[in-house]
Amino acid sequence: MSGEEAWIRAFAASVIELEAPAAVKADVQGFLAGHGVPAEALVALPEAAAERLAIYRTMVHGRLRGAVEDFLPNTATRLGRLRLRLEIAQFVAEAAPVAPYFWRVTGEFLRWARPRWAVDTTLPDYLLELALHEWSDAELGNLPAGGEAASGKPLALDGPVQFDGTVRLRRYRWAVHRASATEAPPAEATALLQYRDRSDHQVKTLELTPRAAAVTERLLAGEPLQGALQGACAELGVALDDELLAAMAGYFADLAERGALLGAA
Amino acid sequence: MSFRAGISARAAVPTGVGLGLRGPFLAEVDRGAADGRVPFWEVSPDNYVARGGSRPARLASVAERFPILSHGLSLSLGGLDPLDAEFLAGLRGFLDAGLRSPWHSDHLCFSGHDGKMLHDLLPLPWTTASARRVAARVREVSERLERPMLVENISYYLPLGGAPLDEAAFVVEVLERADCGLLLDVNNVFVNASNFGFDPLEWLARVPLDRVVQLHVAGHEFWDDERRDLIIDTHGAPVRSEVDALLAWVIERTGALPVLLERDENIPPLAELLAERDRVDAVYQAALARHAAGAAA
Repeated sequence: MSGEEAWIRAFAASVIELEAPAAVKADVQGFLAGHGVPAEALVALPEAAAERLAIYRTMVHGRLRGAVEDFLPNTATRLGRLRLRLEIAQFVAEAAPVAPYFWRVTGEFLRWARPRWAVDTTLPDYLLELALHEWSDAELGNLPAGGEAASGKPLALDGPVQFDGTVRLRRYRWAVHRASATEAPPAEATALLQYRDRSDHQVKTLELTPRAAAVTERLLAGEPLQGALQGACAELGVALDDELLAAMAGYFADLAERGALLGAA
Repeated sequence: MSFRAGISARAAVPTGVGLGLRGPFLAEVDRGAADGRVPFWEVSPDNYVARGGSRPARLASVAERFPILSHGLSLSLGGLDPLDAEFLAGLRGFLDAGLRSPWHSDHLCFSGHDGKMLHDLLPLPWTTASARRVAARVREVSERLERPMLVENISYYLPLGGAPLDEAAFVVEVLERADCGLLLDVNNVFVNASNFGFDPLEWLARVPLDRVVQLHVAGHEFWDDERRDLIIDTHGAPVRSEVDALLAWVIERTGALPVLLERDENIPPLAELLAERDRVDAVYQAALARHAAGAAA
């Protein structure tokens, strides 16, 4: 390993490794030497090297933390600054961002945090779902998909339907969309349909009834309309009657008007 | 084709003092709030590539009315990892799609290591081996993007010990080996000069001004307001008079260039930012007049 490579590896390690702050503070030369920086380079280090190296770590972690605070404001408030700082340090050490796009950092962080938070009893039960909901808003708002041309074909019972590329069905155990900055969401099974509006680019959220959610889930999976309706009714133990068909017709018309449902696929 | 010829062949180069097109005022600019007030906008493609929604739609609208300069943050030109082919392809597609930027620029730093992206500008050792490696990557990026590249000098807070070159020598070596242009950040020169006790004009005098294609100016802040012994390049404050002076020094010698006023933290309302742009532009115009007078004499 050349001296140049060793410097870059050591520098990166000071930002990434969980134990780096203590090791750098205790013996910066030993830390760098341990990562292969040649002895002759260490002699020329300035007196404040440990402090300066730590500044880079602070800046990198602070920038990542800021991204999470921006995209998950209510989640970040509930975690608290100290806990979020520790989470970011752990994230950087274990996974770290990979994509070159800064706006995706929060999604990468959440992908890493999800299995940990799901079993972490020190966190509010609803926190993971609140975070997923906050990120869903940002993710759909920035998805490259969306705004596809409509097929122009009317819905047909024997065929699947075409949604806008940003339409997603999210299911939560808490009504996370009703959480405020300070109030916890009600513990209420919730199905949300989200999509990005074609004209103002804002992410819109619709709270769905159980039957609308069941039908939508099947349609998003590509089932033909008739099969989706029959399957949803069977799943929920409700009759596929005129009332349900009328309600679904109204729901589809609303989605079409919003530009979320584009017609038959 | 030299980098100069490459630039001339691509698009008209805007001059004067422009601004970075940032999220907080993108919608305002799209609605025309800065029309006639800014000669160009600089955008970071990293914030637009592989992204949908309002941002790219608004940028497309702004790009119809203003020249756009492209400046990235994520290429990790000095990194040890291979260049990210997928990112470069996306960047190329974005630049080809109608921005008409005469070049793309990024920083003389590394931003990631071992597959981890750290999203910051981390310093490189100032060695010939490093300059050779970085220059080869700059050339590769330029070829893959099929457009000239500029590299930007960064602020650093810890020079990596034992390097045989100093920063200016390192920058010059990269420029010559890569045959690329310099995006000269005079605020970074000032920050480094203040933090490490050298004369910024001596540093500037060592840079080949014929390779300077664009300038950056910005404000900075102290790391510790009580100790005031280290300046950090935050882009979070108005430009200081010492940085104005360095801007003027360069423009007096080069003539008209695009100058970008950077503001990325504590972003004020657009009207306030435009007022600061006007103030920096007055510095720029005065220097330009002195350049013209010198040329006439």
